[in-house]
Amino acid sequence: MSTDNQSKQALSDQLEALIKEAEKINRGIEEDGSQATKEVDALVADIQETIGRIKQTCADIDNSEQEANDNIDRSILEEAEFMDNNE
Amino acid sequence: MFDSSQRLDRGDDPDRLQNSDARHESGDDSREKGEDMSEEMLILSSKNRSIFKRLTDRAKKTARNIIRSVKDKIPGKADVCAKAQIVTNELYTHRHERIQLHWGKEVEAIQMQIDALQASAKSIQGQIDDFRKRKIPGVDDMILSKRTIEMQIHNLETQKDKYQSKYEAEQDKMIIGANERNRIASEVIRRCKDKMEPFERDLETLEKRKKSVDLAGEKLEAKHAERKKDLDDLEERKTALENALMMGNKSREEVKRNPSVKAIEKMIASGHKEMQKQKADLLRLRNEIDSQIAEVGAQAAPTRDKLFRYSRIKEEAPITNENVKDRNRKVHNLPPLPIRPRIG
Repeated sequence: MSTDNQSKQALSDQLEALIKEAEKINRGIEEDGSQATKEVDALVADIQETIGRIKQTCADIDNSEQEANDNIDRSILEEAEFMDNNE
Repeated sequence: MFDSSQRLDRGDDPDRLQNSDARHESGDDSREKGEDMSEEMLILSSKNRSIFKRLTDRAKKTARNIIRSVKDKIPGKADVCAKAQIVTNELYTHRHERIQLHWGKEVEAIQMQIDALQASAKSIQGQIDDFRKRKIPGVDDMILSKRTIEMQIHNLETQKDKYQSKYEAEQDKMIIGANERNRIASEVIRRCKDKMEPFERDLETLEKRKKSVDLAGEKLEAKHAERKKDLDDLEERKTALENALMMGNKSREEVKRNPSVKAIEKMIASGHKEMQKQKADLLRLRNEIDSQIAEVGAQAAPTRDKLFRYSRIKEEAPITNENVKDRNRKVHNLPPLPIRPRIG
């Protein structure tokens, strides 16, 4: 009877040990996830900032070009007006 | 009046057309007001349309012809420099035709009068010489007539000079216009050159960061593989303990109801579930990043082409027009001309 109890206790202890081990593994999984999230979040922030700069450059170039186009169009109109005034 | 596909077929610049469409849709629509909505008008900015509207009908016609002519000559991917060059050539052609017409009607008529008067003067001089040789009186009257003709020639020459000055003033104006268009194109080139390096660096950074995100995903997957091995090992040891409990006369159901066994099973399931969640979250994030990068990449591609195209142009001579020179003066040797004040 005593051996039985001892045997049951040993199994119970082993189960408790497994619980602790499972807790440790799960904590590890959470830490892995948290570390990856932290790493990726920093990268995402950097990516967003870079994307913002690229979009701004695209807009700046488009605006420069549009502005130049408009100025050239205006020079046509000025020219037409000049020709008309000097007829 | 026309749609984008039709315009694209004719090799129009999609950006420019997009802008004209945007202007069209942004409450800048003049159709409702019954105003000129010709194709030439649609490509103009609202400010330029205002200038166009206040031109005389004759000036409008000239402007429309030039704009149409420039538009027909612009290739599919024309840049500002090409446009500036084409506009310079077109304006030169228009002005040159106009000047030729002017000379044809006015100066040539004057020249014909001068030629006729010079012939008369020559004839009178012949008569004067003949009368003098033969000692016939009346030479003084002939000299007076000749002087009158010479005065007329002088007056006509003066009038011709006025036309010449006008012609030269127009040529000067042409040079100023070409300088101005050079300046406009150079400004775009300068801005592009300034942006080129940081833009390329940003695109490279984006690629590097994307790779880093992929690497972070791979690292997490490797860690998950280790954790999964640990959980599988735990599962095996739990099964071994369950078997040991069953050997102690406990039924499978009784073993499964054991609180410790239940707790272990719950934790193993929770570990797997957490890894799946992390994997799914990372995948979703990577997809979002990929899609954002693809979107900005598509937007950046034409800008990159423009930057390369403009950066290759030598800034000192973006536009040259061999035709812009005077027949009588070396106006192309004039010092850089000041930029004239704008209309409006």
